[in-house]
Amino acid sequence: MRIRTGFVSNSSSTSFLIISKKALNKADFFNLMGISANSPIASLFAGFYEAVVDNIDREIDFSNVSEHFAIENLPGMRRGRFSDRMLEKLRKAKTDGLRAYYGTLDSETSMIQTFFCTDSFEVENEKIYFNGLECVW
Amino acid sequence: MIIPIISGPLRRQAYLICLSRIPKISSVLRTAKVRPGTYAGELISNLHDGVFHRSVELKSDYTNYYASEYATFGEYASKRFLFNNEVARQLAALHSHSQVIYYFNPTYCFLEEDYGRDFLERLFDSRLPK
Repeated sequence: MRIRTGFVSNSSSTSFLIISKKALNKADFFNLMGISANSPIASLFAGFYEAVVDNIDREIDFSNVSEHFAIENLPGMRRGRFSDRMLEKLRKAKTDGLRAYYGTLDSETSMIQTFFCTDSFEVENEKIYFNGLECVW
Repeated sequence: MIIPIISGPLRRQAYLICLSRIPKISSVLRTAKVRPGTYAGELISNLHDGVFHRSVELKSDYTNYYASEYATFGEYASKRFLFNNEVARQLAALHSHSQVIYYFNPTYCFLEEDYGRDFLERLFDSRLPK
């Protein structure tokens, strides 16, 4: 038997879903998060924004998809593991012709990405919906 | 003034936050330029709580509980918390100039090293002891 006396920690990853009226941009992202661009701590959310943009696996512009397009068949999504809430958000995004972005944050990168990867939150305003609650794909 | 230290057997990053007064949450949110009730607002509010409501304030801790045991604040700092001589010396020097000295163990992982110190200074350090 081996006994480990030091630190043991797991790496972590979490998925995110963003739905927006127009192409994702930093100004709208900052407004959603509630921080001014000239904040003395803006670098934290700039790092978060960059991590999100760098880790988007797929972008879907629902204004360009057929009405027969099935949300459940989107690449990268494992059927049956979505919350009803997320599916409903995606169905509504399709109905409204919005854009959706999804991807995964990783805890083994920067400290900033690690923090947001391990936090759990859902925020929404009139332009963007951000779901960072669930690890579903 | 904010003094970074390495704390405990796991050698975690911690900070000694020495201020001339406790900043109100509304003031810190204004300094951070974040809106109350938003994700960023909640993040900064939790940080404010973590420092000013969930951390030990060393001056009152010493006065209320340890003054009879340790002759000086510097001795209390070095023996009670095992701060090294340089940190204990800095604290002893700041004792009379600071209204409060908080021993803050951050829970946000980005509050590490130079970035963490800079982040805290940007939020709180306008209230440096004179």
